[in-house]
Amino acid sequence: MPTFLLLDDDPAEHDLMGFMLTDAFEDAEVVASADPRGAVEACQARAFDCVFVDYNMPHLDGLTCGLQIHAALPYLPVILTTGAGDEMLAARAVGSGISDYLPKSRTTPDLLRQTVLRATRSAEQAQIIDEQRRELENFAHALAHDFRQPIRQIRTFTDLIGEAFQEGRTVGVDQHLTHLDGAARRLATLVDMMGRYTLLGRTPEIEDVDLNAVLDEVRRELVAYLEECGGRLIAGPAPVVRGNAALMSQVLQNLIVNGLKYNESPTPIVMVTYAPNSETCVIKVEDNGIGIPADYHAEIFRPLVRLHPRGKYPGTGLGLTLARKALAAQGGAIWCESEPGAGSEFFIRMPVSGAAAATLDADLQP
Amino acid sequence: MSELAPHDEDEKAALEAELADFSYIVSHDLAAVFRHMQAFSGLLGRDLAETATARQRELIARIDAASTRGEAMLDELRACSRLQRRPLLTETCDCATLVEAARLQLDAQFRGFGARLTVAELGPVVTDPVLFVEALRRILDNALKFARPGEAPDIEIRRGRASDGWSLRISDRGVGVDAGQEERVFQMFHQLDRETDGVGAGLAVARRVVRRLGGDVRILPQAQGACVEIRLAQRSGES
Repeated sequence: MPTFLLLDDDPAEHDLMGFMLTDAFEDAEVVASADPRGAVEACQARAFDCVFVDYNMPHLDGLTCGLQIHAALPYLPVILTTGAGDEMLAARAVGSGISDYLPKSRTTPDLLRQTVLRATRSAEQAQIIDEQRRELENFAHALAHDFRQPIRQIRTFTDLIGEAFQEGRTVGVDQHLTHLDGAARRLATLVDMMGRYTLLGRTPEIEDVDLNAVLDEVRRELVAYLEECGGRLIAGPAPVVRGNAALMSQVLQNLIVNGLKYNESPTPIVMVTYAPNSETCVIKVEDNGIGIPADYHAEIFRPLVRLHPRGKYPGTGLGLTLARKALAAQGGAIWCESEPGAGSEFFIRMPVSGAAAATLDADLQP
Repeated sequence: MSELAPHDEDEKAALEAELADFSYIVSHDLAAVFRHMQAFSGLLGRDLAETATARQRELIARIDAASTRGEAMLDELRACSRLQRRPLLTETCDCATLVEAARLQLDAQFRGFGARLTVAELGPVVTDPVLFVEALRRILDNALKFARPGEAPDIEIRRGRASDGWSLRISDRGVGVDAGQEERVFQMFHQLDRETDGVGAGLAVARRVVRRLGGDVRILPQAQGACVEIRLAQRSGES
């Protein structure tokens, strides 16, 4: 039995809407009230299927009342009923907590039925999507945290077993031990990546980030690596972008290491250049490495997509996925251009000061 | 510079779709690595059957046990996640039929332990039968595992007091839950007792499933053994 709450200061409307609702839904039950001030409590006390709120009411306007109900019960459809002249304003509220609006003058049982069904369906959908998202977060959180301790145990055992077999190793035993050690390391890395991934689910603090400082830090981190592979990192004077310094550092370090790692040149080189304009800055990270076939330019950002066997170029296969998520969290984007044998170019687009604030505000308004 | 920057909306949609998979893909990869470890520790044990020292054997066994447990933890986590993402059904069910469905899934254990199950008159319940049975099975499984040493599990299922709404009580005469530990048993992968089989996820998953059904699971105080209560919100008019 569908039950409806009707908030309207005009008792005549109660009768009219009540009549139309029972016409639209055979066994409908309609609760009507002229005072919107107890609406939230009324909705909490009883499971309504849908609430109708008059746009124009004394004490509390319909839009505010509707939004209060939505805040308390996010999956209860709220439909604004409007008199002449209110349609434009009501229409603008649809989507941001208000499910739909109905012009009183044109309401028929048929239109009412369709509007209610559409609103309840989309509210159900929203609930399912939210539940799924929450569950996904729980799952990711469990992966990142609950497996740390057992994996630490495994690492300890594999270390100990390596020591226990210091003497009398055959080639076969040696191989098994190497595999066990590699597997234990991979477990630890996967869980670590999962931890970083869940952290990226939170909104990072956005501030002005001087990329010069970020690149200096990355260079310091990579001193040993650059020396080992005989590579060079070339980065000119860099601009300031809007973002999060720690995330930018992770992303750039990841791209630079990739450029040096997937590289067969005698001197691996990674060059970082910039194309700033008034609203965004595009950062280009290019290398003289092995390149990426065109088919894979989008694929490489998916988790665990590897173009090469793990033995040839070690890595988790999650670095670029994390980079992409880290950039998305900052309002940025990443894409790639490359040809096999001709090096790769990775492009990062980031907001810059001034324009960035406006963009973020716009994002908050659905 | 490139003109090929992807369109923002496409980018966003693609990101959502792809990243939703992230944790599942990682979980598959983790499971594969746990299996590799079991395989390699097995090979190591086989190749060294004649020559390994006691300490080496011990370490091989521990690596095998730890990776088997890791894989089992992942299985439970994935099963739980599947249950939580399943579309919810609402049906009026005969509660005794749901109990029997859960018991049947554990038939081998019931026989193996020589366990006894007494079911009182339970009446109907409005719920998602699949999820309810999954929760119940885990609670029964737990009751079977924590019997007193040397005693056959003795489990009784009855309705709770009607004045408190709809509830079901599953009590056993097993080792029980120590005072102060009633909440810890619901922690995912928390094991009160390392010697028992399983990964310590049963009651945690049961609670999450029942919470999804709009209810809750808790431990009630009882003189001997444990009493687990499933409480469900039932709409008015339904007993």
